Amino acid sequence: MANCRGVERILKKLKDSVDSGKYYEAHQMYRTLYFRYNAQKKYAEAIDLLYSGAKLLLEHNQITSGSDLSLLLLETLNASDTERNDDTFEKIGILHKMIDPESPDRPTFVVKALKWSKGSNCESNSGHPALHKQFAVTLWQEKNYPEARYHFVHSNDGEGCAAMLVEYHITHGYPSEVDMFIAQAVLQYLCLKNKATATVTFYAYARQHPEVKKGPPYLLPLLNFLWFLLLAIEGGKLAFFTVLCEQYKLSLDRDPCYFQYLDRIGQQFFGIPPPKKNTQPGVFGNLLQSLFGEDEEEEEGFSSEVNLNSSTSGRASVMNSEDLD
Amino acid sequence: ATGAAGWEQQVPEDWVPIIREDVQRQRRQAPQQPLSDAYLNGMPPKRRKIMC
Repeated sequence: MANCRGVERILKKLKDSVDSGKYYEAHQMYRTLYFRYNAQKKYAEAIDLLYSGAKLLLEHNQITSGSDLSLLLLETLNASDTERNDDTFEKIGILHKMIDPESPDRPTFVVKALKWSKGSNCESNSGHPALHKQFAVTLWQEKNYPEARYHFVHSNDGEGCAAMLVEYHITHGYPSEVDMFIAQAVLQYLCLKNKATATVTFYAYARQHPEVKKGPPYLLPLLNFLWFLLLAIEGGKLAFFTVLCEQYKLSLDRDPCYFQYLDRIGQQFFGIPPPKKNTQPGVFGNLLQSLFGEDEEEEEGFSSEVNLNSSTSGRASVMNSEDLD
Repeated sequence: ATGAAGWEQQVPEDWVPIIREDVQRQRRQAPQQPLSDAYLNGMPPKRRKIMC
């Protein structure tokens, strides 16, 4: 108990240092305490300390020291067996939001956090959906639609994804793409085997978008295709899938990726065998693996995606390969 | 390819009129214009590099 009061006293002292502008000293003190806790394997204490320290420094606009402690927090999570739960995801989400969007530490933080969130659970290959949601919501608020979109597609938040896509399409897309924005997202969710979120996103988008007339059926063929596709997956009938791909070919040709997504969807939901590997090692060979794959290719595509708006997209890949060692 | 009347037997009856109408609509559709940057941003990174 005495120990507990001691920690409180130290935290209070640290807060006073930060409040009075002694940032450097406070930062070094946080680090010292962190190393001490870590050596004693007191991970829970180290995590609390780093979280409150990072938050406090970031609140005072100390971006470099704040993100330094944030990264140490992720290292501690990795070292410990802290449970991957909403409480921890929320803390990571709060720090992510506080780190300056322009800071070079932010992509590093995102990649490391997602890596931790996977754990040994190989199901969620690119990171835990709940953590993706945290990042998506913040990026959406910052109007960083491309990155928000990426994280929504890896989350289970269909309602949020749909609302973001409606806003993104209206503000940045062409009117003729009203059906394509939702088709792209639904097909990508299905490639990631996330049928439930694909369905929620589809109906929410159709309901919310002011330019979509009430349905189903809809006035736009591509929307009917998606509606039927989701029904066909429910029943799992290959014949339905084949007919839909044939009869809606003209709509599906509008984006050269659609048939590639559908190949994968055919394999996942309708038992179509995958094409023989390595027959065409061309540029398109590992295209989809780069976003959705289960192999080592995934890391590369994934980190370049996270670095979408960064001028140095090579950085995260380098960092990733270091991490893998 | 399936015969002219082939596909109608393959899907639920109530889909048929909707798909038929969509086949007509697609024929009347204008060819796809170049896609917006916002849309292209949603493509897998490798494909995006090729398209741009």
